[in-house]
Amino acid sequence: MANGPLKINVGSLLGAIVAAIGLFLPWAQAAGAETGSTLAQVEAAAWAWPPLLALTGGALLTVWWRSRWATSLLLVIGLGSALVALVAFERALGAGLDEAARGGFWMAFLGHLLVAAGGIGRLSTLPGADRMSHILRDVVPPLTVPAFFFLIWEGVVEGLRIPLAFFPSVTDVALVITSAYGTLLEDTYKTFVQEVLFGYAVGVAIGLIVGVLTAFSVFLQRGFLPLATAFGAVPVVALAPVLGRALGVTWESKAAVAVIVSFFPMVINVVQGLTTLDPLKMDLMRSYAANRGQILRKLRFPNALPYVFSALKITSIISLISVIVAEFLIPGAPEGLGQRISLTARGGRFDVTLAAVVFASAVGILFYYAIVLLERKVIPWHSSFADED
Amino acid sequence: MERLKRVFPLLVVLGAIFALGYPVAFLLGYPQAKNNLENRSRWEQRVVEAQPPRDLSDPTTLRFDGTLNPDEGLAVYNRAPLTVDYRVEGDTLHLSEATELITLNEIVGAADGDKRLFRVNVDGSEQPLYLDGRRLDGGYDMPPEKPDGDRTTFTFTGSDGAFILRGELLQPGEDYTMDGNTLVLEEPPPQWLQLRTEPDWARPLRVTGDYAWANERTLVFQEPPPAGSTIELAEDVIRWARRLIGPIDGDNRTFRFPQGEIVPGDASRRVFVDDALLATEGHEPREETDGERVRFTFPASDGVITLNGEPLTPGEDYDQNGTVVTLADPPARRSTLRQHDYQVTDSRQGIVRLGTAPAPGSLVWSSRYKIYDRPRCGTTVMECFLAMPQPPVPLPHWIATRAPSYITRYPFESQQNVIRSALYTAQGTILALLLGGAIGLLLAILFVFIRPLEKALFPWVIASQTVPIIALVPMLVLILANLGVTIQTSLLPSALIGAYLSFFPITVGATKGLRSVDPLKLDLMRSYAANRWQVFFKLRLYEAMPLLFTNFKVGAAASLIGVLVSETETSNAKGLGYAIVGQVQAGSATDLWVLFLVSALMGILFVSAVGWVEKLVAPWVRKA
Repeated sequence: MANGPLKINVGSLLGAIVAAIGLFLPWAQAAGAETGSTLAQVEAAAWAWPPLLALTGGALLTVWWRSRWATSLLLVIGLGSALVALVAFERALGAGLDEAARGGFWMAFLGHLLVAAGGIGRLSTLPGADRMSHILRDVVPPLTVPAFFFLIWEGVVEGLRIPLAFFPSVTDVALVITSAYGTLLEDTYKTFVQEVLFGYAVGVAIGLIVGVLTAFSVFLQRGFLPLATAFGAVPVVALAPVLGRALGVTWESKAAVAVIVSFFPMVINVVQGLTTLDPLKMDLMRSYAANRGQILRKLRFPNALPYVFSALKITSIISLISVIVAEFLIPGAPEGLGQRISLTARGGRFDVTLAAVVFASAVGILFYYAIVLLERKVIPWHSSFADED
Repeated sequence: MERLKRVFPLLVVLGAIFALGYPVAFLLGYPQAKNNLENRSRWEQRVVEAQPPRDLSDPTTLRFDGTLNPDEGLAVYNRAPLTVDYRVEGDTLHLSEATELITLNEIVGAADGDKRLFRVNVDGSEQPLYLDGRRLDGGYDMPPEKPDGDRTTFTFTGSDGAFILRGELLQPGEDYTMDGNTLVLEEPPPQWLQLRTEPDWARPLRVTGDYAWANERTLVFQEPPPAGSTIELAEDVIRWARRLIGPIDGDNRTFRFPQGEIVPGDASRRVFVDDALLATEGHEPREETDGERVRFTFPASDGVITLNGEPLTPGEDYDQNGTVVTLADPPARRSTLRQHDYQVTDSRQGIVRLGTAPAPGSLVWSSRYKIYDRPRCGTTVMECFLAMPQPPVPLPHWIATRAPSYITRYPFESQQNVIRSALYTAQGTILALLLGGAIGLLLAILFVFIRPLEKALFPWVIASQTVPIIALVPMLVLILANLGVTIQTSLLPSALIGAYLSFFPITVGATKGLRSVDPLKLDLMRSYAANRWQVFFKLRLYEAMPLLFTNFKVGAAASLIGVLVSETETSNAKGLGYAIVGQVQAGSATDLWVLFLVSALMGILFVSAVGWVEKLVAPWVRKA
């Protein structure tokens, strides 16, 4: 396929056809109340049939229309119909739908996912440089990925009737989040505020000071930097038990893990930031007869700021990850996200495990983007914002 | 010279870290050491017992081990003050008439001048032993090491004397050899696996006194008793017991033990008023405390009444009428109400309060009580710090000296050998890195060739780096187990999890690398009319190398962490992760440090190995 748009949206067309066939398989007839399905099953699924028929028809018509609006419409129709089909499917399953009648549901569900996928395929190859094209091409496709992900996850787990002890569905996890968010928030508070944030703050503060000292001593640079670099390869799994023994199983040892893992990258980046200078700028400073203090203030410190923020970003994530691993390994009171994850996983309560992972991820993302935001405020001149990772 | 300039600072910094280890270790160990020194429950306890005579060969003149003072002690026999009149003179007790002095358990088997090991029918280890009327001193030296089924070396404070083990006398040269003060046994002694507490004789012992007990029923002499001599084990003998200090005027009920700080919860304590033994435990009332009842009936008409361990004041807190006690306030439901023959009111001073004041002329004495003797660990905090078996942070040189012996403690064939575990984990990590690298590269290539896929998914692969994906590992381990991927014995689950952790950074690096192509070079390729595949193989792949290898290094570290975490979660006994988990709770801090250093070395080796591969594969990449 070339870089231009496709002539016909094959994926969406195929998906719409599959979905349309699915609509006329047994469950659909049950919706018309003609087969041997019980009344309960019919009622559970029947409500979805007319809207699905209309949506599938709409998709079949829209496929032939090539504008970007039509393509966006396909995406919406596909995801919406897949959701409607899934809800009807789950209800019918709950009412005791038999094996033979499931094929139609699967075809309607997967067919519409394909319709939506076709829509994304076309959107992401849109030509054009205007703002709307940019949004449709670069912003919308990644945003739809969670919708696909959750629909497929829910569809597979519920549709194949996978038991909770093997893998929970999206609704199972959502149920835990809504019912037990109090406990999970307490865990998050303990892990994030008491251990990660505290350790991180102490670690980067000491790292900054030691980094500045190291930058001004060639001796320390030779003696300390190789060690600091090597430390990046040390697995936290081995570090956490040592600290747990040294400081006890309470929060201090886990905060200490965060201190250590955020300290070393900060030292390395501060030293790099203060020493890797553009020779041209250095020459300029010299030509102005700037003294050491002026060079430090006007050139070295501003030069180091992007490096410092880079370290702040990297270590924010490393310290969260390390604290969670430390909580796996340092046995203590059953609180904190790591302990919760480890204990519920061993107990087979994967729904709670995943809910705790959701909290951990949310906190990680918020933490990271808070620092990105701070970076934009502090060094708006820096050019690397296109490249955040 | 240049090389020295590079290495010297490194050595200095390493040395400084090593030196810094000492104050850190001391600071972190200080609270525990101080507690060991000051907390009475961690002190050595000593039993103060009524003293048996040294020499009872003369039936009316008994010699003891020290000066006897009739104001401080008294002669007792069979749990009662001696009924025969006596007087003391120095260390000698003169009886006015010959009386029964001793109840005997005779040793089975006659002394023949050679025999050193005697088996008896009773457990006599607490009883005094007499050889031809002279009391012998038992004693032994116990090694600090516990038998674990494998250990064959035990260290003693000296090397002379007979060695005994579990009821047997060990033969030098045959059963054991000496290496300085270390006993090297031919066969490792078994571990103590019985439910009751481990007796001293579960370990090999060195006989230091005249004799020692090699188990409950076996007696071993240092020197064989001469032929024809009588060996007597005294079940009971006239002894010199200690009086409790305090006026006996018919009113006083407070008495003090003559020496030291008594152990409050000592169940073996024996306190007598004349020939009546006072119960150490309190008596329960007939009725239960239900929150309303105030009248309680006790077995005796007098005694110290306590509520939840606190003594009550008669007349104020309660009134007593015979055996019936009426409390001023009803005690709470399920609270503990007791009547005691006596109560320890101040264990530091050794002060007790008796239920009834002893009548004038009676004797208050004790035949046995425990005192806190001295801290087990030494006399200063520093001594206690050095004596800690498991300090929070071991002293650096302990780690340095321990590491070789930790590595050689188990043979290479054993699963517990640390090198073997490390190699096993390394295998898993390499597999994980190859797997993760392959998946990551494949995905990156897909991203480069299929634009919609990249547009939709790549932002999420990047976002995955801000999410603690490792949090899913405990769940994945169990899901893999449910799927039938063998857990305990195979590398596969660890490798899969290591791959899962490493493929995210590798995908990011590879995708960015493949995309970050110099536009000029791309134009050049286009001008040669190169197709996509040619551009890929001749240009993109080369341009991707620096970023690819940078992220491969991140991936290598991530793989190792993934493999170790999965090993800790699966209890795969072959891996290093399992060894770490085994030490987390019960093991020694020094071993943990050795394992930490081994893992750190592994991580550094892996990352450097990726660097070496980079030099081989992409020698044109120059690093700043």
